[in-house]
Amino acid sequence: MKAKYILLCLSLLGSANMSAQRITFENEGEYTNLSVYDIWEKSPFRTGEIANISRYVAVVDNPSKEVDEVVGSAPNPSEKVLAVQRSRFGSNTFGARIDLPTPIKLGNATKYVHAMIYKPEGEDTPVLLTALGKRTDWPYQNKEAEQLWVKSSSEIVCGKWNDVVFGITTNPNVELHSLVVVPDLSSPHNRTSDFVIFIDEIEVSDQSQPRFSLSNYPINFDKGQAYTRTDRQFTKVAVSGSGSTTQNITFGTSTMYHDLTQTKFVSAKAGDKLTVKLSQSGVWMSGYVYVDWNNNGKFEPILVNNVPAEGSDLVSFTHLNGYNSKGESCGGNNVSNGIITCPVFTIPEGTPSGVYRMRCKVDWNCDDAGGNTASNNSIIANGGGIVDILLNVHDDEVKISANQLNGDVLNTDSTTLVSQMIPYGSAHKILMAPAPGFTYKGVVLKHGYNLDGPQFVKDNMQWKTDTIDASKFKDNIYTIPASSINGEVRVEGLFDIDTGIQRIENGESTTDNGRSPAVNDQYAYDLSGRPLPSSSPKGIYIQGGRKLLKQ
Amino acid sequence: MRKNFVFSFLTGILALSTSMSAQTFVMVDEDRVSPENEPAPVHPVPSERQLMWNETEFYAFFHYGMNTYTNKEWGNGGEDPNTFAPTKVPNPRQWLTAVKAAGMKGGIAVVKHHDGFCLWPTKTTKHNVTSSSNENAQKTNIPDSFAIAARDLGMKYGFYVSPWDRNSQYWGDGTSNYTNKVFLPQCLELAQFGDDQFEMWFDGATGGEQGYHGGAWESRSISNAQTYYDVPNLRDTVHAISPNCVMWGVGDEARWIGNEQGWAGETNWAMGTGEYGSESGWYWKAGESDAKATSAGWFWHSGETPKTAAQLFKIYLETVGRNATLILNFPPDKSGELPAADVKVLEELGQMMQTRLGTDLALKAKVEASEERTAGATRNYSVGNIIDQNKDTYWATNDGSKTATITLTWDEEQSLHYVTLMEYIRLGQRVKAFTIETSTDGATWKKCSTTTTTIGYKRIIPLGGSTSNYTAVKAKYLRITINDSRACPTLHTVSVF
Repeated sequence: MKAKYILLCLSLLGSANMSAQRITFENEGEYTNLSVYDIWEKSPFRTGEIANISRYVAVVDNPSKEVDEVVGSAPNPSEKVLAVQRSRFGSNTFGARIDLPTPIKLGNATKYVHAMIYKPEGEDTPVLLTALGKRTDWPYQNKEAEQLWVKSSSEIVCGKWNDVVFGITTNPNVELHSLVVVPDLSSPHNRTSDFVIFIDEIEVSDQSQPRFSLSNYPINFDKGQAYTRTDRQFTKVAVSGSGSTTQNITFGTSTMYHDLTQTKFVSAKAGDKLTVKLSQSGVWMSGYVYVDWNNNGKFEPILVNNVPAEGSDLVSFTHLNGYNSKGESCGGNNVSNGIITCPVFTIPEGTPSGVYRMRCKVDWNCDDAGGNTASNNSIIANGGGIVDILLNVHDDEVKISANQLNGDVLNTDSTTLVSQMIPYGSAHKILMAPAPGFTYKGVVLKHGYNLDGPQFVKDNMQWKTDTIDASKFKDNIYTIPASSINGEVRVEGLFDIDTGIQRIENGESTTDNGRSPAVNDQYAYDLSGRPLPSSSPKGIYIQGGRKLLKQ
Repeated sequence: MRKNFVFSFLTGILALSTSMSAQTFVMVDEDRVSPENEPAPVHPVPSERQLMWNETEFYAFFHYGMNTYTNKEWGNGGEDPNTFAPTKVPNPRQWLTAVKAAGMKGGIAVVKHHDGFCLWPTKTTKHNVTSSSNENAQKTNIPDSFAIAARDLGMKYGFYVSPWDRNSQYWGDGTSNYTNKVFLPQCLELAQFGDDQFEMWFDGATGGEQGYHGGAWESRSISNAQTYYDVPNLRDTVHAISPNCVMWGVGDEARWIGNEQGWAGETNWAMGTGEYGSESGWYWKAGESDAKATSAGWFWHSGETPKTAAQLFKIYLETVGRNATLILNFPPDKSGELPAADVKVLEELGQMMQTRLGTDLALKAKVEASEERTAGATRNYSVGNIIDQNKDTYWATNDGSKTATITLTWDEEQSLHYVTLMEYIRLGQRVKAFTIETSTDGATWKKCSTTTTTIGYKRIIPLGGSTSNYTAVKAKYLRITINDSRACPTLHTVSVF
């Protein structure tokens, strides 16, 4: 217990030395004053109708130190946080104001303000950052001018600590004296009471990605976000490799983000060189391609001398700070005849076979896989877009096996299919051989990777199952399509006792066109010998001497 | 050092002991009951200057300058100042008088376009009227004469000043010199031509084409107009000098409607972007539609002709009548005056406006509502407020009532063409869906086919269903049904023509 006290004391000592660009609320020196601010000029918090506005904020104990399952730890274990009373008499831009002991001067840089926000209850809402300050070369100007307004591109999730990131830029002559975090950017007109929201760990850094994310592969806007402009839209991904046909993936323009990982994948082998082309209407946009090589649920760019380094999840881009991913100096207008051609990249030799999430993004000068959040250059405002697909890194051959009772699944040469290797991506025929007294209802195909593990890992589908009905077989043979030979394949034959009853499928003839019923007739009759009308009810019938079950 | 550590350690212990007693937040118990029972605002709401700007509704754009004499739309900045050679002293009073006849309430004069040539004797650059040898150019000071004429005529005025400057050696040179030495001082000079300006217009062009740039003849561009031109502090300063001046475009107080064809969406929120806006937008930025009234470009070009009055009236209905303002461009010619053909069509438009929208039949109707909000101490929310010709009184329902009907009844059957609705937007834009119906007997109703979703500052509904035709509907009754609203609806005016 004593040791814990000492550790805590040391942590407090450490926080005392933190610069003004990190505010943990553990130490009063981190700010000069705490109050509230409303962008609405007629707010009672600005007109003086509500007095002593500092009452609406206070530094209090952290109300939530719980471990988050996705994050894997407590997102915010700190002791003290800032509480702000969200007044229903403030506007949608009412927030907590933190006056800084040392002004922030950005110069020409884009910086990122991180803030942890915890809204215990209510609706998920977007949040906003504004900053008050002045030009350093205008001595007559007071430091209350609003220098920026940056809306979070996605909503915060209630009941959890969120790390919200705001990209900020200013004129180089500007210094920021106060930050205002607006934690509930919704109109309060229907509210009859106030509530409390907590803010903590405000930090200004170069890091555009959240310090933690409550979801895998985060994007910096709501997944349902519609395009806000009609002149720029991202519509297609085309992936081509050396010697392989181009794999095209198209998608709609109703939203800026598409998660196609359960329906679309592209195939390649370790060592392949891939070229990705992105179809984008409009101009002045760039392309970015990511692959999550370590399947950790994040896209983590590693750039050395402007070029993706070994292990970088950002594998190709057409423009980032004046360079493309080949390290060539270039501009940012990378759309040519509606196509952004990303520089070729190589799937590293030795990459284990399996699926990897691949993200293709159209954006402006931004390596954040979630999209640019900088004010005036956000991916939303610029008409960019994101699509996620799976990259299937495969070997030349994949394993196929079968396992079932009461019959065998054979190759068409009548050899038993137990476990063998077949070419990746090639159709394969199987032959059903029921044991005596048994028939088959079909097969279940399980195909993909890690077939004994969970179907989804970090939201990426590892495998899927397809049930193939007996009616799809012809002469007891079924051709497994090439698209299902996309990893390991397991076949389970569905053998069952032969009852002598067969199903009549939709479209199969069940009438005799008025002819008299006869034994062994090719048409079907009910158990009283009457020919079936085409709209016959479900039941058991006779056809050609066979019992048939119409379902 | 050791002493410091002990002190710090004790400080830490003290902090710890403070933190050991749980600190929770005790909320302020603030209950602000409005004695007037006014509806709570639905945010965002407009600022006072945005409200005043919106009330200007219909105003003119006057593109005049170096391009008038070079037959260009975008000059490259290398033009000889002597090229600016008006055949008469430019006459903004004639411009404003002409557009006032059409019912316009103000105008914006271009005083510097992308070529950088300034139409006033600025201290920021020699590339201005004083450098022209033409004697009429020497007498030109557009911002000054424009402001004086507008005040004399009781009109609002403002200036277009291009941030992009293809003449300036500093523009886009990688430093702050252009903003600090040229652009911000120019804006401050212009602000001082009058503290009663209603709008300053900033085109968002960010370069990308070759320009003179002090003789460098380079293609330059910038990546972020907001920070390069320091728009936040420009806005702060202009507001300090001219508090009712809305900053258009990059200034973020009024938005481009998204096209230059003169139409806004039938659904059009005062938040968001483009022709339609967005209900979920977090700040107020109502749309302004900029349209050309003539057949050529924004600047005057030989042989151009004006649109007809009927064409311009249709544009008016599809912009002002759809919750946008209309800034309609009439370019002065080389004489510095509006051509006679333009003046004539402006007169015709004014007559058409008066004929079609000049007599409000609602003023002689009986009005009834399905619900009226409970009155406050000194004000009421009676439906009679919608025809009292006072924009500060309004009809509203009680909280929670998002649907309602208003019925206008005349003693005699009327020929009705247009219905105008105006929300009390001081409390936010609310109505999401409404219908208009007419009847001759009060029993059988005919629904107007026009899309009727948002209202906003002003909505004009052509009862004949088309903005192109002037079609009357015979009716003794007119019913407005609010079908959905973000909160209790508020209307300050209903007019019927």
